[in-house]
Amino acid sequence: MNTVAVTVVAEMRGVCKRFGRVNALDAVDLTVSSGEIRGFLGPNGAGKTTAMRILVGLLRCTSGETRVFGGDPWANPEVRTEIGFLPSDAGLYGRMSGCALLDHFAALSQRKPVLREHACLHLRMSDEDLRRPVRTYSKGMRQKLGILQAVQHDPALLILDEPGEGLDPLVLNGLIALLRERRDEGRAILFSSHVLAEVEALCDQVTMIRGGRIVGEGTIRDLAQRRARHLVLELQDAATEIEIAGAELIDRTGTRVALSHRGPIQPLLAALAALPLQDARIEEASLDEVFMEYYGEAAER
Amino acid sequence: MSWPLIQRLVYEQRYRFALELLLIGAWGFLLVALFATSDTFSRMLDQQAQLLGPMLALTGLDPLAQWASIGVQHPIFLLGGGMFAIGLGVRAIAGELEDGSLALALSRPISRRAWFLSHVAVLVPGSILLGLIYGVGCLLAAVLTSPRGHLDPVSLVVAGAEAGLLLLSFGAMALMFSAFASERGRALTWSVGTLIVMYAVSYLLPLWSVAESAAKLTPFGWFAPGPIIQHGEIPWSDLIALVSFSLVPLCVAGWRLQRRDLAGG
Repeated sequence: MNTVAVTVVAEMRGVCKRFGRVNALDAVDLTVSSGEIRGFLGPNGAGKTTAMRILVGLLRCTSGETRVFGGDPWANPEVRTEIGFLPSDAGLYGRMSGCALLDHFAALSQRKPVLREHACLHLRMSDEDLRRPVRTYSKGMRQKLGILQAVQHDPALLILDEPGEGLDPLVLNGLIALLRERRDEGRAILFSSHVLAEVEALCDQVTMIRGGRIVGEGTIRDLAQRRARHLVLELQDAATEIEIAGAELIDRTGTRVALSHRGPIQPLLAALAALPLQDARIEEASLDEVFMEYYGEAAER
Repeated sequence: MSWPLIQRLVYEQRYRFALELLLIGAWGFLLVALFATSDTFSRMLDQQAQLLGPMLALTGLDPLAQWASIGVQHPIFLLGGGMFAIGLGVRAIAGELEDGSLALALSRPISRRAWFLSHVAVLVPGSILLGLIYGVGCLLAAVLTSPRGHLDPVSLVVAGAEAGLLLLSFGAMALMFSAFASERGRALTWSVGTLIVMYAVSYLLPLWSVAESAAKLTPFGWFAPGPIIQHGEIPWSDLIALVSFSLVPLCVAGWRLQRRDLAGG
């Protein structure tokens, strides 16, 4: 991995966006730095696409501040030279060949498509594919072309709205490898996805949004650690009393005890060491559970 | 303006526009050729010109000039030329927004002004060319069939340019509706509906004396190619009015696009 100085390339501070009476974003803070892949998670209608569109200057925030490479993307189109954007509903000109379409978007970006061939290899897109008219493409092929137009000019910031949609596992692996490679080259990547395995495999940082508000942020590990752990203990004696700070009994059957625990790990390990155990298993919450728990809590609020 | 964008627009329009040029040119050719070769047709025309003369500003004109003038005010010409102008205007914003391609393009370092002006840069010469090609068709038929009367090439060019300005006003209006709409269908409905209403206001309402001047509220009311074809006079007030009928909606469209959210198709 190359050593690259980390700089903030895109940030939103207290951004609100209203569409009539609908509050699409409410005081959203979001930062994307160079050399980072940030996953943007949220259920449908949470505000992910709205936030991404504000970052590329397609929407104007009602209040708050958005900066991309130090400039306002709404007012300064030139900051978009360094952005590669894939919207979730990317419309590609069907009458053009794949190659002509990529040339067109490279020309609009005012940049050479230096990464096209390399990205084609990762996404398994052949020259023959690129010579065909886009209207003959399958959904997956269109998605690959959409990703290609976003990455081909090697932008410093990639904003990808559900890039894994419609891709087969082989191509998805290629995409993950490509994005990791870009991250290692110091590029900043913000991407949204519903596939949590994808996020877990790829992201350094995760931001969770629901109902237009950020409900969680951090590394996947941080988020998981803030959530409850699952403990399954096998006691030597069924009558043993168990008192562990932060732990909650879920089930007790004979010598087998199931607990959930929140809080730092060290006191937990110390408490477990004092118990007469035959066996102990500690499981971190999966990202799915973290995800569901965050949204459950947010929904309750 | 964005040169790659203009190139793409021209590339997209290449077959359709060529067909429309052919249609309009053939229409001009056919009218003059029919006039030259059919006596019955000429007599019928004389009768119709007497009937419709005041409405279409045909009074006192040569039959050939009358006929060439009717052709450029005929729904076939307006439909053929309007397809290009309205099609381009409707697709420019609402169509591309609905397709999802506008978000892709404007995520590039292109200002909305450049996007808008690039479309105008294709719309203006395209509309004028469609107007001019009608004159070319008429002239070609005049050379080949020697009709009774005379068609002056320069006058036909001026009349063609005026017809082009009329088509441009259609496109400008379509662009304006496109800038307010998020769906191609809605922008198209408003554009075509407004044109039909204006056509009716311009050609039917004046028959009712109370609303005689209502035609001046529409671009059709300022479009009188007959005197130009016959006398070669340049009607500056008409041309200025037609340019205004294009400029005002274009300014509104540009203003709206500059401010609107592009929330997706």
